Amino acid sequence: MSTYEVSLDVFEGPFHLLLGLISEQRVDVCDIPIAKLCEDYLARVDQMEKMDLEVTTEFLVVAATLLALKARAILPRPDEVEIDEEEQFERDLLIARLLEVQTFRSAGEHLAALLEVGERRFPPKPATDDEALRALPVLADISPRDLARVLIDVVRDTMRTVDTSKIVVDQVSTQEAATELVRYLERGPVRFAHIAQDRNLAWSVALFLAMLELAMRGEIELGEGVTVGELELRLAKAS
Amino acid sequence: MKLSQPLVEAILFATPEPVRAHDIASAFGVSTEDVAAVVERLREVYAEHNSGLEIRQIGDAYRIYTKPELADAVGHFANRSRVGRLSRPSLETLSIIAYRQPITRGEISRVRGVNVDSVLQTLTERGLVQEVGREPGPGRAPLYGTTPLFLEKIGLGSLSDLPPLASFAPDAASAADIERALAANAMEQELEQDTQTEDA
Repeated sequence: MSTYEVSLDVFEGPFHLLLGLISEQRVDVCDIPIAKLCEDYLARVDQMEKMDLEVTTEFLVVAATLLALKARAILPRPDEVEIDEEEQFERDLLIARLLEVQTFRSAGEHLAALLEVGERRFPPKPATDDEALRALPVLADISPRDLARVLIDVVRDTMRTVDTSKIVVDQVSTQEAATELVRYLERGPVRFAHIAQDRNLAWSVALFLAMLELAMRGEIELGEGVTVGELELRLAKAS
Repeated sequence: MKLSQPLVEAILFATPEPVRAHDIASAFGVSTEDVAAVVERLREVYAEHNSGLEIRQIGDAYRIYTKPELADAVGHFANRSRVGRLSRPSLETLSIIAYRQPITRGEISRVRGVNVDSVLQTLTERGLVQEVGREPGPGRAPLYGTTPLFLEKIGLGSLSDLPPLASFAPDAASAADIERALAANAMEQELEQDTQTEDA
């Protein structure tokens, strides 16, 4: 695993070890030139042919922590004694978290080694004439065309089924339909099929009932249109 | 039929998954200790005869394996597909779960400092970790833990066989530091939570 190495006056070696040293107070965070650290890092990133995000982002986390620690250490505080303790606590916590990650990282490497050995142990393999295997359907003789046909059958069946899970009652009154009919007829004779076109079932029925009612009241006349078998409506001549 | 070494060997050989000691014990009307004793004798026999096989304990079960040092040659015949290596983030996450289980996604993210959703998914798909329950209290966040397959893959009898986490700390002094600081932090968070609960 590649690590980022740093070279400073106070420390030279893998970057993440710096944290351990600061944690043990063997290196003072104030002695670490963070600007130089970042410059070196950016120069190194520029040189990289392939960006290794693991390495590059790890640097950012650790560098940000160092920066926060140093900023806190340098800034003068008004109430020294009380804040000191809290500051110490936060500093410890920050470093502890980073060290914690490193601990789990090492533990992860150990697990990787165990997994590697585990991969080299072969348990008994189930026999190939296993009953469970025989119970599986054989797909070898089935062509893509057959599968497509099955799919079409399934889909077609679902399309035929009317979804009755939710029924919306479309409330259309005959009165409403009658008004609509008259509006059409004012522009001249019209075929019923034309009016009912693209209407839902409720509307079609309401229009038909309205037509019968208007005819009964003598307000409209029904007849056969140009084509035989077509129902044509027109307003009754004003009597 | 009486429980015997050949019988246990045959059962382990013919079963394509770890066999629970309890299952063998109840099938033959003996205790799990008796089963363990027979397995132990079988191991001795294998050692005496310099066998190419070994019996390993996985949790409360046993399974027979070829020895890892024979893998190069055996693998050629066994023709097993190898599980690809885990990435570093996956290994880190796996170790956090192994040592801190049961643990929530949020707690893992807190340790790693990044979102662990996709890594968790990878580990779950590989069967190494699983949801083991829900956190009590509001939110009921899922808790993650390692699977029996994980134990089998790392070749350990139980989670307690994992080396202590402190042995992976950068050094002993910082191990103590980690414990102290995190314990203090955890205590503070608990106090905070208590106050919040009281406020609510």
